[in-house]
Amino acid sequence: MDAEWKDPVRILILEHEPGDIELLQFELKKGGLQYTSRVVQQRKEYEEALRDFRPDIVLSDFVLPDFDGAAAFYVAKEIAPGTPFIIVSGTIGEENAVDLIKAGVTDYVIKDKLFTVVTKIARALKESREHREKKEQDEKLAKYARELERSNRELEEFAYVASHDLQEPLRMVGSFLQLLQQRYGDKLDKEANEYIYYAVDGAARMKRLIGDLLNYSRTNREWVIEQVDIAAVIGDALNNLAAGIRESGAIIHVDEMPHLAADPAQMLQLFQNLVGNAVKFRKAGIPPVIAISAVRNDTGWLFSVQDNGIGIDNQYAEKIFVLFRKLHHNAKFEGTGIGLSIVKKIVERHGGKIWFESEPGKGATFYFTLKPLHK
Amino acid sequence: MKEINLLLVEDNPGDVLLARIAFEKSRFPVNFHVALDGEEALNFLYKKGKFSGADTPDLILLDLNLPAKSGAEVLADVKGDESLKVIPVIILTTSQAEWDIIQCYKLHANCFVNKPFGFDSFDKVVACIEEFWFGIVRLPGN
Repeated sequence: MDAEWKDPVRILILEHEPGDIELLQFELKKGGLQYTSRVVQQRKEYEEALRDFRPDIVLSDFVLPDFDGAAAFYVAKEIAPGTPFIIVSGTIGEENAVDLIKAGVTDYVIKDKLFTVVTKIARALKESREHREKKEQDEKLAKYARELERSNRELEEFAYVASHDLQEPLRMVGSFLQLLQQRYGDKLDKEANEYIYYAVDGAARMKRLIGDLLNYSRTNREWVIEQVDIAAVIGDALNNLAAGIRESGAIIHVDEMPHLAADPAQMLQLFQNLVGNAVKFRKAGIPPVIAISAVRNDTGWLFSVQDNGIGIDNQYAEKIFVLFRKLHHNAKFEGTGIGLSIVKKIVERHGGKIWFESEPGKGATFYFTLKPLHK
Repeated sequence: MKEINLLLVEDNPGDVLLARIAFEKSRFPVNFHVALDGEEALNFLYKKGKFSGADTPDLILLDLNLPAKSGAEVLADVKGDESLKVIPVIILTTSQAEWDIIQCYKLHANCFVNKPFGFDSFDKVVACIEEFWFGIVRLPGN
C-alpha cells in the first residue's frame, strides 16, 4: 500500500450479493489495507453515501438491483467528480470493460481474480492523487500567468499614459522658459540667463526621456507582423541617422540582408538604435567604421553590428541592457539609457537573444538572433 | 484685408497664451477666439447663450484632449453639420498615437499637427499655419 496514504481509505462498496461482499472484505483485509467501508445496493442510498460518506474510492458491481455499474459511474462523476471508480464484476466482458475505461472508469477487477483488488485500489488512489496535485499545480500556474499578464499590461498602460500626460506640463515648462529668455533675457544678468539655460536643458532632456519611454512601452503595445526587407529597413535607419553619420564621417558596410517576417517599425528601431550607438560611441577624432551582417542559423538569422568605437568593459555586460542604465556622463555622450533596453525587448519579442563582444578601446560587436514570426 | 476669425479650442491656459503670443506677431489681421472645452466650442459655433453675437470662424484649431466632450467628438459634430463642415479644422495635439491620427482624418479633419516642444518650434508651427491657411489657401466666403 502507498506509504503516503496515512488515514484509513474510505471505500464505498456498491454490491448486493452478500457472498461477494464477504469475499471482497476478506481480500481487502488480506491485502493489509487500512480502510473503512460502507456497503450500499440501491441507487438512492448510493447517492446519499457519495455525499455524506465522501469515499476516497468506489468499488462497484456491474449488475445491480435497480441500475448498473455504468450508471453508477456517471452518478459518481456527477456527485463526487474525480473519485476513482473500480468495477468489480464476474460477468463483465472484455469489450464492455474497454468501453467503460474509455468512458472514464478507473479500472476493473474480475471476480475470479479478486486478489488483485488491493493493488488496483492502491494504484487508483495514487493516480488520482497525482492527477489532483497536477491539476492544482496547473491551476496555480495558470493563475500566476494570468496575474503576471494583467500586471504587465497595467504597467505598460501606466507607462504609456504617464509618459503621455507627463509631456503636457513639461512642454509648458520648456516653452515658457524659452519665452522668458527671449523676451526678458536682455533685462536679466548673465547668471540669471545661465539658470534659465540649465532649466531649459533639463526640460529638453526630460522630454527625450519621456519620448524614449513612450517608445519603450509602445514596443509591447503595438505589434504588426509582415514580410520585412531588412536591407530597406537599414536604409531607412541610415537616413534617419544621416546628420550624425555625415558629421562623424562614418563609413558603413551592409552585407546582403534577408527578408523576414517581423514587425517593421520595431526592426527600424532596432537597427537605428544599434547603428546610432555605433556612431555615437566613437573614438575621438576617428571616423566610425561600421559593418552590418547577417547569417542563417538553425532557427532564423544571426545579425551582427560591428564598430571601431570606444568599446565596452565586459563587467557591464548585463547593465548596458537595463532601463535608464548609462555608462557615461551626459556631457560626454548624450543619451537617456533607454535605447539598448528597447533593442533587447524587440529582439526578445522576436524570439531572439542579444549579446556583445568587446574590449575597451577596441570597438564592439553586437550580435542578435531573430526568428521569423508567424502571423 | 478682411479680418480672419480663428477659433482655438484648448483647455490648457498655458497653450492658449502661447498661441495668442504666436498669433500676435501675425502679418494677417487675426481675430482670436478661445473656447476652453468642447461644449463651449459648440456653443460658440452654434451662437448659443453668451455667444449669440459670435463670429463664424474661418478656421478652427482643435485640441484632442479636452475635458468632458473630447476633441474627436467636437470634430465629428462639426463635420456632421451641413453649415459648419466647410470650416477647416486643424487638430493641434501632443498625441502621436497612430490611432488618433487615423481617427481624426476619418472624421474629416483637414490636417493633424503635433504641438511642438518649446516656444520657438511652436512659433514656427503657427507661422506655417498662418502662411498656408491665411496666405495660400482660399477659404470659403473670403
